[in-house]
Amino acid sequence: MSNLRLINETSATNSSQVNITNIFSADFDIYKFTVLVDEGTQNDNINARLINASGSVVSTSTYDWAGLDMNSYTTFNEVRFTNTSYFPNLTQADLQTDDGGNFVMYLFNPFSSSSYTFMLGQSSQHFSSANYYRARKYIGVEKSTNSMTGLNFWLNNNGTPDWEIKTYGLRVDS
Amino acid sequence: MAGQLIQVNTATVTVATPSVTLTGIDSDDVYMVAVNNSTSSVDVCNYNIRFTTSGTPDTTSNYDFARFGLDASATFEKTGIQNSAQPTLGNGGTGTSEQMNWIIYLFNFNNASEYSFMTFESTGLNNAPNLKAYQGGMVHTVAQACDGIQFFYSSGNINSGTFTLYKVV
Repeated sequence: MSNLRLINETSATNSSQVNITNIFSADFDIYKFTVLVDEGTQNDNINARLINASGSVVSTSTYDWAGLDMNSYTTFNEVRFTNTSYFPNLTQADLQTDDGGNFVMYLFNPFSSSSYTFMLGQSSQHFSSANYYRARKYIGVEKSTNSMTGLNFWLNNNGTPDWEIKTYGLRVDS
Repeated sequence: MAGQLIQVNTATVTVATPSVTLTGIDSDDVYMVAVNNSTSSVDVCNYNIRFTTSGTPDTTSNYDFARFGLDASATFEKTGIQNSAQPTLGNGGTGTSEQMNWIIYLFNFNNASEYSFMTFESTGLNNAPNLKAYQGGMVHTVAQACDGIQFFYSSGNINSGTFTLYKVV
């Protein structure tokens, strides 16, 4: 059996946000997400927030994030956030029917009540009829030691794309 | 099914130790290493990685690497080093959640006629504490078979962490 265990598959259509709950547990410390976003209604950044053990979305100013925008159409751009309320800029949705955004993201220690939650990821997206391509690499941290159980994905401008999200756990057998 | 991960070796540090070595690479497959919650005993130190041959770390000055440091508080660092004996791919710190987490891929380790390569992505807090971590790659410019990877700090011990080697099949 593979040590990369599929935990959850979630799809949504025309949705401005997606909650994936009860995916983190003591069974895994590292989680991998593959996310496809398509058929957006406007150019929108995709963001994420953790969901705590009470089922509440964590929107406190405890998130730091750093990312490199690698653009096909202009210079690269360094992007930094400290003490913000979400993991920003995971990928982008767009209005064009053949555009889309995708990313692979890892989370470390989200279920732990003794460690912050860390993330890293990379994305690939094409947006607007101007033929703009952008890839991103990024890292982040949520600076609380609360045990988290899920993720909330959402968009800056309330666009309503389609989503396909898979969540995996990296199993460690002692 | 392609893309499966088969666990080869794992080490969980609960008592401070100078280094962690994962061995068991014995095929031409790609291997992956996952590290989480690795902390140091010394506040300001570099986190280094070497490759092993027959379980012994290769300490020769034959590592070339290139990295950029994503940083939430400063301009991103971009560094390329040739002929290093002690490649630094992370930082240490002793404050709350000052730790390193890595996803690493290893290539050609079992092939005695090729150089050994790796790619790495990491995330963590340094001793500031700032969110800063390196992304990049490394090569060991000796055509020899390698069987694993070693983690160690420039000073002090590894206080905690789970280090796991997987075969990608």
